[in-house]
Amino acid sequence: MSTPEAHDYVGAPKAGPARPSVPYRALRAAASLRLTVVLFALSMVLVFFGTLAQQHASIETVVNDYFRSWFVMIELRLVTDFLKVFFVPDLKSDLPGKVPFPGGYAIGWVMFFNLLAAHAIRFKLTWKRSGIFLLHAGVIVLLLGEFLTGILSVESRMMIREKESTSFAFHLNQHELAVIDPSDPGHDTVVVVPGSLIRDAADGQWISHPDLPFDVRRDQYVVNARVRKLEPGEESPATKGLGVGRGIQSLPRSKGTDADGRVDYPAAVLTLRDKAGAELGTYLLPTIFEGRLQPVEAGGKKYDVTFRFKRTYKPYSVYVESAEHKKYAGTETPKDYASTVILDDPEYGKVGPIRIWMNHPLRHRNETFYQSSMSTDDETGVKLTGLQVVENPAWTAPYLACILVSLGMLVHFGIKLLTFLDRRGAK
Amino acid sequence: MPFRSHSQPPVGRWAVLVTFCLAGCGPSEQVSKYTAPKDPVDPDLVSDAPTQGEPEVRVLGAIAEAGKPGEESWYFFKFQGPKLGDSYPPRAIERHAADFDAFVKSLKFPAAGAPTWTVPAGWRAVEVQTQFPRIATFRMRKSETTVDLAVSQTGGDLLGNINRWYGQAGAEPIKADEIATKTRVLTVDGRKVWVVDVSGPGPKGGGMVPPFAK
Repeated sequence: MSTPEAHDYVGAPKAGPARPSVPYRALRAAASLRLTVVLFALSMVLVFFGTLAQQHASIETVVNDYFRSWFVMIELRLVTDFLKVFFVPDLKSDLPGKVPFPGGYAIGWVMFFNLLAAHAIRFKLTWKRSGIFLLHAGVIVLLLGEFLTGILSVESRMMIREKESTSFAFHLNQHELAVIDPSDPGHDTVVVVPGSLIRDAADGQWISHPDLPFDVRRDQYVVNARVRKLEPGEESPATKGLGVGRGIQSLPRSKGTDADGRVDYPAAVLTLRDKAGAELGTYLLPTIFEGRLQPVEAGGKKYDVTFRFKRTYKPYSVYVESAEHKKYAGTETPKDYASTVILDDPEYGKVGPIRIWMNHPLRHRNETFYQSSMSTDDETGVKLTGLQVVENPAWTAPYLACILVSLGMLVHFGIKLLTFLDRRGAK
Repeated sequence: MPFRSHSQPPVGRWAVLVTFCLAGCGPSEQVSKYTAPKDPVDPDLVSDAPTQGEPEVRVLGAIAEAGKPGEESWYFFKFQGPKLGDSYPPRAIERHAADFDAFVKSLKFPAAGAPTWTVPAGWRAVEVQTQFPRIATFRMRKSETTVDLAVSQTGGDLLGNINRWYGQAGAEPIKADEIATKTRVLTVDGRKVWVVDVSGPGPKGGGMVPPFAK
């Protein structure tokens, strides 16, 4: 019976120096097969708790906190959540506290160096092991590809009505205060304050910038809010704009387990002050009403203000020529949806019409447009298509990794088969 | 296979981002300023509510001869909701008036069968459940009010039909000798067409209309 150290999959130890140096000993420790096993076990634990965490936080939050981070504080109530569902339904209390745990980046990078060190220490470059080399190359490409995706990819969405076009995409998890100067009939001049600056500011803190026609004071920020009527005797936080006579109610944050892909709609209560120091009023700005621009006059000029999902304007526009929204007969369950679009890009000219549907995205300027959602206005029948716009320079990495791993397995098991047949023939 | 249009390697951006990320921080968000195309108008935010002193209702429609002159058979092309006598605020109708004019002028009356037309951009043929059958219904929207245009065929005398529409607007009925002056008379594809355009406070007595009134 062969020992694990001598097996093809893990490589046999090469002859090292008689008196190993400190770097060599460190390399040998990094190449440890025990470490590999521990890393795999940690990965499984991370995936397990990362999955459980989606009942309390959005997928984006969980991905960033658990898998695209160096370490994560795992909440112990996830353990009681799990016990309640599968073993102790009557369990009343939640375990308090959090436990630090290595995040996806930490496990991934250690795994990466563990694999490289193993090749440096144990694997000999021979034809017999060429399949294993290919397979491991695929794993390395997969690890690096996911890391690059984590730090470089940008996801946004375009919502376009049939027979209309748009030139911007918005980000579902980022927001901005937009101060729009509409005085030019040809275009708007927009100053945007990132939502994170408002979110991270303290109540009562002023935000000033030379490009802003007025200063902004954060009075209140709610991560997920709905606008409601005031209770009798209750005062509105707003003194001007559409928030007068209304209040805001904080809602639970959207979760990864929400069936309808809900997102958070933050709201802010902001007081504006012109550059001379005169207060212009307190405004309630909910992102759920981002289309309802609120007029503000400052320095003798009129502006429109809104708190909205962060926009990225593109150097091209996307026109939806037609949208198909098929449902299963007699139900509202979507069966199939597709959009036929024309891209108008001043640099490349018109592209299309091109049909985008499930697993058939359009790629343009390093961006990929996936068919993401479709709805039909019951009253007018006008269809609204949602295109997920993904910019990921590492998008080819998983494909390359799959090819390398598949090829590696084919080569490795092919060599094994041939060796077996040779031995049988020799007998 | 995904359709691939154009691509260019973002080498510079890669280098900057990788440097930032390996250094342990991303580029922080800052206040920024840019010019952007104006947003398309959101119909939900375009109000049709009449201001004080403006009429509440506008009835716009066309009546075309459906048979030989004197047969008292008519085609109606009228902005009309699914229910009998449904009417719209004047501002909502005004947004579609030019398209309606082009639609009426595009009418063709074949020797047999229903008339044909050119549908303006933005109009969509829909199936609507109504008390009386329609030849077609088109639905359109440029503001908070979704507007239907109904095409139907009925009988009755011309003056009675015109005055029924006047009644729906809450206007006083006209006399037979006023038809030429109070309506716009066109000749389209060899047929006489009367365009009725009347505004008012809305029907008196709660808008009751006789059952044939489509």
